[in-house]
Amino acid sequence: MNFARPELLWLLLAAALLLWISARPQRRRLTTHMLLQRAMQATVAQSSWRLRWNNLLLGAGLLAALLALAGLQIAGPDAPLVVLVDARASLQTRSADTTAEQRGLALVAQRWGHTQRVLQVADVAAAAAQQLAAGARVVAISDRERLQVPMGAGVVQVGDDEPNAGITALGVDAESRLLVSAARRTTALGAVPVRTLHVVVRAASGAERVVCSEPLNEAPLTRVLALEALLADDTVIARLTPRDAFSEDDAAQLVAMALPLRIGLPSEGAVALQRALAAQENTEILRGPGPCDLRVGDGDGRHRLQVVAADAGVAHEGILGGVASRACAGEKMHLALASAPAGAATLVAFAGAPLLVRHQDVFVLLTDPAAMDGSAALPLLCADLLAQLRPQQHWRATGVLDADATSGARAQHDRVLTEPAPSSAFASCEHALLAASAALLLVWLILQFRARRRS
Amino acid sequence: MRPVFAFAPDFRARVLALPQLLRHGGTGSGAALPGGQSEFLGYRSLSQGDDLRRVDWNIFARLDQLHVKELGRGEAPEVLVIIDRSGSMADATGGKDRLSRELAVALGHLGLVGGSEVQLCSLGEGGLVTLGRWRGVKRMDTVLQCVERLEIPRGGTWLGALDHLPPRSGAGRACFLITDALVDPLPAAGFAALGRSDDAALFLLSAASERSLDAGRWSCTGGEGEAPLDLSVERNLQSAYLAALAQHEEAVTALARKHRIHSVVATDEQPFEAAVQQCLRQSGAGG
Repeated sequence: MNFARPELLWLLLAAALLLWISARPQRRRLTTHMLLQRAMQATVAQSSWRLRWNNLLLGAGLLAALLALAGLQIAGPDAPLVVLVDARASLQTRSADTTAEQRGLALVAQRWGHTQRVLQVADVAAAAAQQLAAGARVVAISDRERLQVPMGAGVVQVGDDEPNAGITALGVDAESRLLVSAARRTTALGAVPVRTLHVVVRAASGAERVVCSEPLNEAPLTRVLALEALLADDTVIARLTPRDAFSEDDAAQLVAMALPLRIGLPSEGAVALQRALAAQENTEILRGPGPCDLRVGDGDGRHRLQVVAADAGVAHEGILGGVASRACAGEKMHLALASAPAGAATLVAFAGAPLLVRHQDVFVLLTDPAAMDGSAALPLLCADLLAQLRPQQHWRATGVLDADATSGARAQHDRVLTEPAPSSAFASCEHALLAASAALLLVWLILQFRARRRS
Repeated sequence: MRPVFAFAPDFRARVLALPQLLRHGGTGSGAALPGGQSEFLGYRSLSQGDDLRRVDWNIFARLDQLHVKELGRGEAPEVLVIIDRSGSMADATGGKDRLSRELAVALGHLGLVGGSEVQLCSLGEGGLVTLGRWRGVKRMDTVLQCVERLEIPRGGTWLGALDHLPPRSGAGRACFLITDALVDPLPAAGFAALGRSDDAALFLLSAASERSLDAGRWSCTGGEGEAPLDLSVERNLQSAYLAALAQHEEAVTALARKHRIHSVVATDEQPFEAAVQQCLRQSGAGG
């Protein structure tokens, strides 16, 4: 039991005095003893119990209010044991058919029984401090040789002696050369078994071609491979064979991904166009100047989209005709179309007249997009427009772990380094006490009111 | 330390003015002061409280001295004032005790003014005790001091001792009992003895706090020798108490009436003059 404001407990004396004054018999003395006895014989109402209850209610209400004011906190008998598992990938190293993480959790369960929560955290020290502040008991599981945790947190160190080799880097440089690195961990068990690094390019059709296959004799190993005709649909796979105890770093992939199309809009206006463009997949809308793939209006950009003035053009009635806009071909609209510049290719037509045309890197929308706001025509027209743009590609590697997980220093035994401190969790009872106090005092007041009304 | 009682500073003046008040204030037609006057007995010097109408102006013209005529029915009857000193007379505020003393002095003074021999008795643990006998209006101060020196009431009620009232003199006796009559059973024999007086009156006293018993905590001292009570008075007990009080007063006055005793119910909130006035009015109405 703890108090947030123990100095207020002095008020208990005042409350006790108040109760004593309330409960003590008033010095209203009677000499009509005989008449009182007759009256008491005449009535069977022995109501002193009511008075006792009144005093009990008043006392309990005051006590609850005072304890709430003093900030009573009760130690949680079953303060939760929170297990923080280091998010380091090496905890997935298998040894005797179990991973280091599983062994750590088993050790925690064996040592402390119940576990309320298991959290996987990257920063164990920060998470432990947070949990301790929240009043939980904390045990951290990690395979690091030295784990810094706040005082009060327990530490379970898990480790293994398994040798390991893994891919630590995979990427494509600016000159489209493939870069692959591998590292290995040597343990007391002896030399790392011979492993072979394979680099394979898998086409969209599933066909594979080996671009590298060499034994991992040195560590770390870095290879730069010049690849020919690496297509956007190709997947580069780097693999170490045979697999070791820590298999998460034995394979990595490199896939081409399209960068989002950056569309630059003027600082203000073009709201209808912005909504239609933002509805497209893999787009990024920019307001104001800046490099972009498509610039609406004047400014920098790989491509530009010009929009004619709102009051220009001749009224047409009809339906859209384009690639993506075929879906809404049945939607009849009225649009004022400007004349297409000479030499421009029509991308989307409306009622037989050009609506969106292209001349080299410049697109021209021959009507006011606000006139199409609210209909499906404008987003579909934008889809036709964006289909003309070729998004830039970049290569993204998956499955590559950092060198620390692959070859960093790790513990070699499972053991409990430090015990978690006993729970210092105190549950605040202020609200419950205040509610109880209010209820008790309310009942007391009602009883007093009723007694006064009766008398 | 012995408890001390003292009358109010103006009490003596009020007592001295009482005869005048009773004559002018209207005790009712036919009302008479204790003793009564009808026959010329002689002259005496004018003293404080005497009615100026009784001054013999002829004597004053001749002797240049103020004398009043004393009238009486031959020998004036004896006036017996009995004051209950049992514990129940000492209520919390002391009002009942004060009123009983004031009544005793007032009645004694009226007796003295009426030319009677006044006998003051206390009724307490020792039974019926005669505190003194006095005659003559000048002894009023003695009566007052005697009553003032009485101890604070305590102990049980000895109303039964009324059976042993001293025999009355040949001139008759007017008897006044000042009590709260808080005794069970009521002393029928004592009341019968009291009723054998020529004129008997009962002052049934109660404290105002005892007549309006409100809800709350009360303690009862057990003044009648009973165990003290500490109790909470609520509606049921309150109404039962008030019913018991009314029943008790009714029983006392009925018993008094049965023995031809005038009864006056008085509380410490009212002045003693009012109680005396009421008593004499009843006495006058009863002949």
